[in-house]
Amino acid sequence: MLGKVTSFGLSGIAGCAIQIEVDVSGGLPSYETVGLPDAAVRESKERVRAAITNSSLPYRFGKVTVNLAPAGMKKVGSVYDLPIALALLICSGVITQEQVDKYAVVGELALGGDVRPVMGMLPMTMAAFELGYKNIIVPFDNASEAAYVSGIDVFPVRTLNEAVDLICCSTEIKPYVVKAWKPELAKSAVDFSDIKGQQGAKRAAEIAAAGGHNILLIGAPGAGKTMIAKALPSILPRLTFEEALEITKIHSVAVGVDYSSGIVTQRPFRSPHHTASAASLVGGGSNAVPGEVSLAHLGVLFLDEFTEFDKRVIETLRQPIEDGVISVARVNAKAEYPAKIMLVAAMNPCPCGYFGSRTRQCTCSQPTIQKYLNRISGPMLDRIDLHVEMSEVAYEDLRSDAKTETSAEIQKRVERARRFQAKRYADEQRIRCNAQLEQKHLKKYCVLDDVCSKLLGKAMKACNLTPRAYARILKVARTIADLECEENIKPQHVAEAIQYRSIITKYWR
Amino acid sequence: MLIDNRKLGEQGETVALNFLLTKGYTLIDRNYRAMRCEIDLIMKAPNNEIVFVEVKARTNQRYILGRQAVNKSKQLNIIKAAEHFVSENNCYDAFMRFDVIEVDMPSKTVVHIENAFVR
Repeated sequence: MLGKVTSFGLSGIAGCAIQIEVDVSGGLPSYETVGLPDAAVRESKERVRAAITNSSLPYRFGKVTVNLAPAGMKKVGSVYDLPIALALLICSGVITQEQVDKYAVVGELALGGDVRPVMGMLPMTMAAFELGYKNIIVPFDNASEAAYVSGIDVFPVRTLNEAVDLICCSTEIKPYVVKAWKPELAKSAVDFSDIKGQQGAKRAAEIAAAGGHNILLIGAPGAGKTMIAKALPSILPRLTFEEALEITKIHSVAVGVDYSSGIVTQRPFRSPHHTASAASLVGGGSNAVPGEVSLAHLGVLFLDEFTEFDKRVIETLRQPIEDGVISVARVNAKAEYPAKIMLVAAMNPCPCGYFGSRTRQCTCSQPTIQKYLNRISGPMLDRIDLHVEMSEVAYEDLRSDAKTETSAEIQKRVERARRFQAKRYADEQRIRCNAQLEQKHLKKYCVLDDVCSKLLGKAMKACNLTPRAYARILKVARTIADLECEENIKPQHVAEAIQYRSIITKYWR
Repeated sequence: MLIDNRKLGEQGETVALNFLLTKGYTLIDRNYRAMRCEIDLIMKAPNNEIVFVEVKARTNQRYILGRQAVNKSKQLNIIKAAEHFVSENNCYDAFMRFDVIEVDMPSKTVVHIENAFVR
């Protein structure tokens, strides 16, 4: 007796079809799983058997062979429990092959016959849709995630018996419909109105958010670097549906998505601790899983205590920051993950923290300071568009009740600037904000008049700026102009952009 | 003591055999020995399955249940003998199963566990 069920697995963040074939024949009773299964797939044997018997369904004993095709690809995880169980039920005559052929099936089984949620539902459903499947059976908790793929009917099941009833058409189950998607403003612990003083840093944060630029905050301990970074999510532009799907794909595979919403509704904000390893940051491991840069895709990667990170770890970020994509290659797995991030880094200027402070004397020697700052390499600094110095807030400012702008007000300006950009880049594919502009776009979109180019030329010589810095200054100037809804870049925009590059010469030499 | 245990086992096997015969099974072989392993009963079930039966007789179930006594190494022994039986009788394609029958002595109550283990 032979039973076949189509299921879906993952390779990287792309779904791929897996054919489950189960053969039950005569001979000494045994149970064998073939087709490069990992431990979780091999253990499905016990779950499947218990789930079938506990659902009061007949389990077919005999020489059972389970094959997962294509045999050359490594199968990972527990998503094949439900399809294997259904293929076994074809063998025992509970359901027929024709009835099952209409569906793609994904799900993990509990011993009692309940269907448990799995990771990576969205990419698997997308793959099912692309391969022309019209119906997919998914665990109930994954329903809203899968249902965001339009063009394929999603049938959520709670138990193995429900799946059997659905396939036998003995119960009428309507495909799951999700409520309309609504982007949410990120709730952050800190509102910009909570931050006293630091007008310069707030302005820089606004520019960074409006153009998706990288930003480095440098200053004494307690100046408010971390607070600014934590408040940043509250001024980021809301997600578009396409962006949300892109983010959800990665999160679904790596960390799972909230079952009730099913899809990511806020821009991600990732802040790994400075003990993070290179693999955890850029992705890796034997299965080449996505790292923090990919989890922060289209959102913020916040590296607090930037200098405390292992130097080698920081340098691994160079390529993804520049390309917006990272390909993780391991012996057993290769994967390419998107990594368009906004890097926010915060650091002290020296080991004691008070170098350049107006209120306290720095106790570090010059070589110590240089050694400390050199933990951040030139190439890395070059990739950060906005360098912001933050000094301690004066007591009068801290006590003052003067009303400052709230996050909501700033967020409105940021969104207006993003809309302005979106209109300009309507014809470009893959470009959503200024930070994503490539070299070839600069000539077209960042045109400088004579005054501006003279100004920039002077700054290039004075600050010894690299060609990359030049390109990045152009992009920042473009964003500053966008915040004012200016079609053309004006000298004051360029000047402000250059200013965010100038502190580099104060500290690094 | 050893003699007593052996007697107990034989009695248990007889009880199990009678139990299966009343259920419509037919006897193929008893105490089949091969490769230093033994199968207590080999039966043909009403649905034509070949059933390899391990019988466990117990005078009290205080310490360990009969079915628990059929541990992994015992299972491997039975499987080894079963493989030999299959090749000897050239019945590779027949459906087969491994059962355990627990007999409580002297009350002669029988617990029959079908498909107790697989290879």
